[in-house]
Amino acid sequence: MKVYNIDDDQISNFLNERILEEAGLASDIRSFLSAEDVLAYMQQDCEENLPDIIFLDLNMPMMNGWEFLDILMQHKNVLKDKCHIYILTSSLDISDTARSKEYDLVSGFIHKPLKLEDVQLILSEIEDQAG
Amino acid sequence: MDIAAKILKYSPDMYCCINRQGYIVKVSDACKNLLGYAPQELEGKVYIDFVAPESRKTSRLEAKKVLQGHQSNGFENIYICKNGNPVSLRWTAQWVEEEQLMFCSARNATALVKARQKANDNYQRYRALFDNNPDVVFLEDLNGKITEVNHAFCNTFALAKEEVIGKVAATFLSPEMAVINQKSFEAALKGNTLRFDLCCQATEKGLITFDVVKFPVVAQGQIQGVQTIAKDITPIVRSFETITKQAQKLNTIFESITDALIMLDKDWKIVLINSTAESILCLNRKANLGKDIREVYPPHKFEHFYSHYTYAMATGKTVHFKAFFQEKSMWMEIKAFPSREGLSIYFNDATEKVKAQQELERLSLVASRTDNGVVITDAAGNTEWINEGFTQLTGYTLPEMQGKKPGALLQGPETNKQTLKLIRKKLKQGIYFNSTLLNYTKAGQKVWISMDITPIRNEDERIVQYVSIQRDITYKKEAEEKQLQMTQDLYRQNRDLQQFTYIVSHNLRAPVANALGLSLYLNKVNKDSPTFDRALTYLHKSITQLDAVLKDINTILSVRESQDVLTSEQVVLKDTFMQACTHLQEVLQSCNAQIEVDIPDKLKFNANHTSLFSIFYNLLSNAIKFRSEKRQLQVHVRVYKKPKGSTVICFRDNGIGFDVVKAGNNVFKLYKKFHHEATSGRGLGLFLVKTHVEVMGGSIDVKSQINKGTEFLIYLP
Repeated sequence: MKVYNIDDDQISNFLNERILEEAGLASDIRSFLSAEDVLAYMQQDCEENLPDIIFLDLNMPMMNGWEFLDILMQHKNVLKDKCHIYILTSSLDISDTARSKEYDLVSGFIHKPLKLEDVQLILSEIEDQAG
Repeated sequence: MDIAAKILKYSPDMYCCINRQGYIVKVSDACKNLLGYAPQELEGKVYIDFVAPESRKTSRLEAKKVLQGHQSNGFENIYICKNGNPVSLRWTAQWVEEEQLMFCSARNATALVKARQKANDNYQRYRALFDNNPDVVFLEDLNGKITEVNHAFCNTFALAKEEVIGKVAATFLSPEMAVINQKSFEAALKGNTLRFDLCCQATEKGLITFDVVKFPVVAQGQIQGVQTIAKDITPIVRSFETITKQAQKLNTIFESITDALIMLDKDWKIVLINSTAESILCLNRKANLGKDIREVYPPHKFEHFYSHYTYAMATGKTVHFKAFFQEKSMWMEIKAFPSREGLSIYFNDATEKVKAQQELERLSLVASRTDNGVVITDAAGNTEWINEGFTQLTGYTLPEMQGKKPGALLQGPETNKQTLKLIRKKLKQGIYFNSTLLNYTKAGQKVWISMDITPIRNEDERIVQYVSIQRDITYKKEAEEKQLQMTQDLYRQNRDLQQFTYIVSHNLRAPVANALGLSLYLNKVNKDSPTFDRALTYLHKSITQLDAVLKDINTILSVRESQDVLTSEQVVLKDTFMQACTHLQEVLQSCNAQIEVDIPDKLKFNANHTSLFSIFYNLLSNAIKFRSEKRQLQVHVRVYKKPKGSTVICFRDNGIGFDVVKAGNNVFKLYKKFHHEATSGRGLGLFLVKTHVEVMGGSIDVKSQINKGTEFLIYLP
């Protein structure tokens, strides 16, 4: 299973990687410091580089999480059911939670730090869907 | 003496015998009486010597005829008497062949000649009178045939004498007129004189009316004919008609006057009452015309009226007054015009007017007591009246305002043109409206006015006046402005608060979340593993970040809080900038920065030193952080004063720049970053710069081009 972390905060990425390892998803975890980097990477090979799960930070310099989602929405049909996007943010702002509901592609909204239970819940959700 | 001799001797006629040669042979004694000569003085003389020179020729001719055997009878000539006077003589003469003598008798013909001359003169005079009479004159004989016509006749009918003589009058008269003429002709023949009007169609003048007199001409007790004298009275008829028409017209005018009108002659007698007067003044034409007005309206009851009338009559001046007419309980407006004939008095029901006037006076009384300004204008918008309140409000008095449009005096440069347009539109519509407008007092002070404008209409629904009630709402406007200011302040505060919420929710929360996650992870991981150390380092970093944010918050708060307590001082700008450079000297040197300073040495600015220092420090450190690796950092600072007194700080670098369009409003926002280099900035610097500038009451602008550089423009008041 491919999992991408998108966050300009190195520490946050480091923590996510450790939690994902703990959850047994060590196989393919990648961390990106900007949304532009992810887009560039995915465009290299649409099929191969498409992840199963994305943990997306909202607040980033240059392209922020919302702008990244706006670009993904253009390819909604391809991504739907294949790529599960979870917003992972330190923001406690309710307006951010509400806004995330507008995006069909967003499967969940998680407050930092990411915990093992969060990852386990996500995995069971994905299995249910597949099953 | 025989009888014959006696007859010769005493006869007043002179007898004489003249021979063929013209010598007087014998003359009777009568010559003494007739010529003043004794017979002896004449006998033996030639007769022609005694004849007046003007008669000699005719006398010789007559004598010649007598010598040829003709009997002369009635020949007249003139002799010169002994005393030199002429005397007219009338002769009979006969030649007697056997005697060879001319037997003549002469009698004094002076009286006869005179009588004849007189008769002739009379005839001529009659003729002249007849011919030159301006009236048309013609004579008809007993058969009705015209025998004589005069010049006026010919001219009037454009007929020559020859065309009418011997014809009947019917030839130049219209058939109906001919009938009239015929009847009167017959009456005249019976000895009557008739007078009648005759209308004739004359060629040029159109219809002519004649005043005709027809009378019989009587000679020796016998009617010889009929004379007709026709006087052209057309102008008289016309003027009479005109007078009649004018009288009718005048009457119509009097009747059509909506005012009641009565006319008095010099003796106060009523000579005219029009119908309005009948109804309003309770007069009756039949009963009251010709009566002395004082009988109708007793002076003791109408003293007020009579005092004016008497004045008008006495002075010849028109009077105009209002009076109450008890009988009908109405107010009258009265105008009396004196003339040579008497007095014309017009009465107008002024009850409504007086009531309106009284109402207006009452209103004015109310209006004058109110604190609000009141303006009454006519329909054209010209001021008729203002109250005391208006004068207090604007400084303008009634004499200054009267006849002028209020706007012309009250509006000024800041008066809203749009509102004026709207007001004009509403005035035209003629409905009540309220409007708010900035006016200027006489002293030039601005006053916000709330106006309630009501149009006043007369009974015809026509607008006659506008009443405008004006209230000074300057305090309200000021309050509104204050409120707006407060709203803006609140908005700013709110915006700041939102940013703070953002800091708390993200920039404070982010390191906290990391620290939290790391502390949980550290629990699970083996202390000897390499990730343990890494996690520990990260934990430390997170807590350091947390500390930095808290410090930032403190800085920001202290700037904000300082707003009201900061002391202003005269700051030498150049010195402050150089201090900022000194603080960053190490970094500036390490990147080999080149700094160009264009600040006048003595330029001082009234501000808080720390704030200005912070501005320069942050701009400078930003320039260093975002310098281009490709070139040497160049910073250019220029400060200058604008003519209006504001100060401009222009700060330019040749760094990497940023996309202004993309950054939009976020340039000066807290913790907004536009570069990936995570270490290079936290997004606080520009936020602080802006905060300082705003606290000083200034503004900041930025221009930037990617890979060229950035320029900040700061305007300080």
